[in-house]
Amino acid sequence: MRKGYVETPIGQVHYREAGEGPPLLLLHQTAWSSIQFRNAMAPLASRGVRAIAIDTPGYGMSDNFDHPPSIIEYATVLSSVMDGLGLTKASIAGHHTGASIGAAFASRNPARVQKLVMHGVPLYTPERRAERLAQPHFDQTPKADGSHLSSRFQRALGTTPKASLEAVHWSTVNFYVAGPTEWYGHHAAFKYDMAADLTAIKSPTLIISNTGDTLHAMMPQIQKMRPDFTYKTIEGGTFHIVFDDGANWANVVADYIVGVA
Amino acid sequence: MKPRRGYVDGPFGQIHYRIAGEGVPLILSHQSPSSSDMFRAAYAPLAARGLMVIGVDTPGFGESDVPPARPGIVDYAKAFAPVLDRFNLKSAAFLGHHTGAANVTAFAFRHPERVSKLILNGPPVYTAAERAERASRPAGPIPPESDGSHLARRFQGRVAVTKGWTRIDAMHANFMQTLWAGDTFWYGHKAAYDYDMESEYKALKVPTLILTNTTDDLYEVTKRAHAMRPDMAYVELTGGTHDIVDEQPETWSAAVAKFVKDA
Repeated sequence: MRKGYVETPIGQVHYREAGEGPPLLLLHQTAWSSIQFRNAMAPLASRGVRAIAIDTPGYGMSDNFDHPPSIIEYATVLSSVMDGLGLTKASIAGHHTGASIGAAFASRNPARVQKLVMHGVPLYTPERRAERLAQPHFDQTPKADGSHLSSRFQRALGTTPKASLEAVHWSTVNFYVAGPTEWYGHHAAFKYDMAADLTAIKSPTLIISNTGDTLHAMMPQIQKMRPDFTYKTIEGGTFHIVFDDGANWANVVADYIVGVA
Repeated sequence: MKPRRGYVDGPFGQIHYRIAGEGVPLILSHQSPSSSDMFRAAYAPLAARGLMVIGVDTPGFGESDVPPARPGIVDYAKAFAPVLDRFNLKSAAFLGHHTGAANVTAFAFRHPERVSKLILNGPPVYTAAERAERASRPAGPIPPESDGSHLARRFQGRVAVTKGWTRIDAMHANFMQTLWAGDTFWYGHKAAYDYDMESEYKALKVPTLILTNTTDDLYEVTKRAHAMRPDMAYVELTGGTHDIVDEQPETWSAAVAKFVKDA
């Protein structure tokens, strides 16, 4: 695996890359980083995909916005990332907030998106979005007894009790590495009215959902809106499935990007 | 001012660095288990004093690739030449903090022509007995536990070894760098305990400043090291812990820049 930075208007964007073949940009959920794809990179590469996992601005090692950005602003940075990587066209696979960024990008830049994969599409109702936006941010203030870390870990495990402890650990680490603006990604996702962009997508699109994901319930509605999309349901899993089951996830994605092996 | 970051190819994969400022080049090597982020508060004040500062992530820390086998200090020292080459520098000033001081000592011992000046900030010049005792302490990956106590316990451990701490935010930021290193976070200390620093330190030929602070955990070790080489320049800051860069960024940077820039 190789890592690097791309220059963009908001500063440096960090990425991890593996493999050769058709390029596939991987966009993580909030508040992770490209580490989410750690276990999927080599399997994707072995299937002949050039996998490029991006640290969304404000996460991992990427520079941040100076204000809470919108999903569309994240998508605009993605254009600069593609320019910096010399890619006129690529496939995109986004998970949760990453799926929102993928939808916003694909609907605005149809000529630049070969194929789109969205896993866990956060197509919330306006009521649910307003409710989530009203929730207070988690207090990151460090405590000498380390309880700021263990309490976050406990909460993260509580929302996804079937995930591996390793995944919950790395979600906690990524959350604190993102720092006091860790909520930017969720804020953008809950502000984002995805429905219009979903309707406008012209690229061939695969929707992945796993039955153990909190966003699985949104599948029927998406299917109703876009019966022309391809759908794939994975049994079980959590919203850490990309980290916990990277090899299988990579196969599902590669089957769609380069064809069934 | 947030430093810019980049990568250069090294003997164990990619080496990650942070860079800020223009002028006299100064390479920074961090303590363990940390990363070049430990100098976060010093990049701006050092740059303001006319230095081009390059913080290097030791292999296996920060974003630098981890070597395939557990490395020694001499391996860590191999990360510096590719960074100098990347910036077309025949030589530069070097500063190392704790384990980083061991890294830059090993480099200066082998490549004195590439080290214009050397700053050893709390050099871990342990005796053989001290090294053996420290090497025997338990080390290895720490698996996560369902109540998150692995995190709380490790954080408490860092608090306990930071006697006289005042900056909980620095404690946290530096601890996050420990976590970022993952399962091999313990390699750096192990390498420092394996390294016979005394023989290479005593043989150093480059102009050297010993920098310490009076309540650092390596203060006594550092004073003893100075007694071995009374010809080296010596500066001690008052108070402070191993988070001295966060605690006294201006004072620390002024002392560093003065030695680097003085003829």
